[in-house]
Amino acid sequence: MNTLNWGLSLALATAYCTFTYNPAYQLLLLAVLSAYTLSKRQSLRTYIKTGLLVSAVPLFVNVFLIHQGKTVLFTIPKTVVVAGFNVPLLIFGGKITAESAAMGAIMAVFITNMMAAFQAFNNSTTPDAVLRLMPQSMPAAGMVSSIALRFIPTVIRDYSSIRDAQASRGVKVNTGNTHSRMGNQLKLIAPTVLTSLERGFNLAESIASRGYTGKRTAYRKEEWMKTDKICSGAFAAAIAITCCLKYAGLMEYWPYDSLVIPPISYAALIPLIALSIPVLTEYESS
Amino acid sequence: MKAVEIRNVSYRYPGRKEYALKNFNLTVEEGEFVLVKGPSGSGKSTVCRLMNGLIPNYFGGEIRGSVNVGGLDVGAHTVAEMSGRVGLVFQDPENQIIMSKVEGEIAFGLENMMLSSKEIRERIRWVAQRLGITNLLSRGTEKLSGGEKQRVVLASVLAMRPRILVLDEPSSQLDPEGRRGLFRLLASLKDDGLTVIIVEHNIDEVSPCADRTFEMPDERKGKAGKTKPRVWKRKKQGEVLLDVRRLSGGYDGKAVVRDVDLVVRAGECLAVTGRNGVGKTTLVKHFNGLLAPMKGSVKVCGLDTRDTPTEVLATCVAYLPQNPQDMLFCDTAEDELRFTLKHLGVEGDVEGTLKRFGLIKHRLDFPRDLSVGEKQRLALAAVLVGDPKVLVLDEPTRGIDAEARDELVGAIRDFLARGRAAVIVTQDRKLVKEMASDEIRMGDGR
Repeated sequence: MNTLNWGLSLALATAYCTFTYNPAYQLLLLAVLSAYTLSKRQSLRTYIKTGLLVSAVPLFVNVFLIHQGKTVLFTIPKTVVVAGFNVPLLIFGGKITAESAAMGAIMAVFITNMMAAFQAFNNSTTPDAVLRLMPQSMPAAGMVSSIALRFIPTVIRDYSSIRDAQASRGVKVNTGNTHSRMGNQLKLIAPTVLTSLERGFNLAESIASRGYTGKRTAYRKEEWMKTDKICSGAFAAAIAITCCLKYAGLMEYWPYDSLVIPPISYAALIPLIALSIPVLTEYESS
Repeated sequence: MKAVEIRNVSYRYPGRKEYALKNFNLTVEEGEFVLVKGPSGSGKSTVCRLMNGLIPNYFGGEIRGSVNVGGLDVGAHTVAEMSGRVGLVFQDPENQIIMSKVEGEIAFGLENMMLSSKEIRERIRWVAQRLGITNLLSRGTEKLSGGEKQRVVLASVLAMRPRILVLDEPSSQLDPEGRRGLFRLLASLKDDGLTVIIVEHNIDEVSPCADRTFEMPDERKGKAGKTKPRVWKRKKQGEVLLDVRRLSGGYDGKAVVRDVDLVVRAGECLAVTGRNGVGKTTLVKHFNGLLAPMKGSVKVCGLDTRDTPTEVLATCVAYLPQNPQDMLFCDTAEDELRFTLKHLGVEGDVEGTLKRFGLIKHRLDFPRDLSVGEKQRLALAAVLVGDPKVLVLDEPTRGIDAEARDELVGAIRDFLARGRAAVIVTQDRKLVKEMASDEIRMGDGR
């Protein structure tokens, strides 16, 4: 598949993901994205670990801070956090409902899906191809997207170097209790971001000094095979169908109204079938 | 004809009070090879950015005076317009490579010049042959070694056929062999009629190629006090502080170093040498537990690194990685030293250590704003304030000027004179001669 098609498949995946809270659709999307990861001969372990880590936040927020829903699972003591002038800022605890737990779980899958979709795009394209895809009238977008694609691997590298440096100065990044370890890991974020931003700035300097203005010729153009044209058509149609489904209300689901088994519309499976194209092409090429 | 004419230029970066350059003058004739030297923080990189218009067009800031490069007034032309006449190669190739394939990287600047595919192909072929990198064209840029990356960066600039080539410490990531190759190449480019301006700390190696040397004006000259003579004799009878037995280790189950045996005693300084990529850094990362041995054992101050976490070993062994920037994460220089003491749970003399490293005037400065040499000294101060017994340094003299280097050597000698031990990974032969009581030359992990 060429870069434009990867871009379209990313647009389809993100549109599908953001248009619905229906857990059935979210789980089916997760299955498609996982199948894609496996088709690239990559392990699902990182996804599962990152997904679980990220899931903790929406689960915590929904379960302990959102006090909606009729089905009370249990009750814990309530703590009110107040801002200035005795204005309640948030209420922790109280009634813990099945609806809020369901919403937390849906949000967790939603975030994992978004991360997996962008990761799939990142793994399948190169900064060169994305830069070529950018409209010449938007030079800043080209530069930013090119730097952004380089950003993730360098952030991981920088994070590991800074973690090593801190451990070498006595910081307990791998030992101690979970609370202190998490605290110390969080402290790594600021220097990592700072280092990565400095790298990004140096790269931008290099891009500018090699005459980049957005207007450029293409030394190697991506070939458009017949299958690429078919894929583009399929993705464009699937995006249109997803938008229609959203406006027709066929993707609606809101657990706080009433916790019911999520309905499934056959039409809503069409975009997922389109999203399976990259899985099939990857299996075929490997 | 003049290739570069900088007259009475004063410049300061946006938001800065002090000037990076003050009444600066530099003239370079066409076809000249000029070596620019000067201490860290004297404004060498600023001059490089001035020559291709990144200053003031990209950075902004306040500028006075006139800059004429390749017949163009820099202030009146964009960086893109200057890029066809002036090629700029920065210090770290890692931060300059944009594309994922070597061929695409070289083509990047040529595409920006709106050249046709045919012209681009011809230029790529020409520059690849000229630099001997034809075999790299189809390779991914991520997989290249430091030396290969530097050549690719140079190729991508030369392919644009600039009349002036400006290089800002291009050899800092290269091993001695890579450096010699680069300087030979630059000399041959000069013979082709190119004007070459190079900022470099490896002065002895570049000087033979250069027509003349330009020394940056240094306002700090004469202000620094004399360095006290240090008494340190190489000896071999102290207590064993580092004991490595049949060590094999690496990453993801793949051994990068194999069957290494070594012993370092109090007062000794061991130099670990060898070309880029043979596993020197991998070896020393075992000394403070950042890597666990796959086979064999490493004992530091009697502690087995396999059973002792890095943060505990840190009270005994201090490690300074290649990039001192990785060590600096606090808001001020003195906070950096306090950070180490707090996490090691020990007492230490923050002010005295800052004084010893000539950093007392920077105590409240943001560490990342310091010059390369100052950052290196601060990182060293930050690990030594905890009074470790073993100091492991990875390429400590890379990218620092002669003065900063002398300061560093002095600090290591002080440390050794107190009955401590040091392990230095280095490609700097002079440093090996000055400091090492022993040397292990690594070749392919052994």
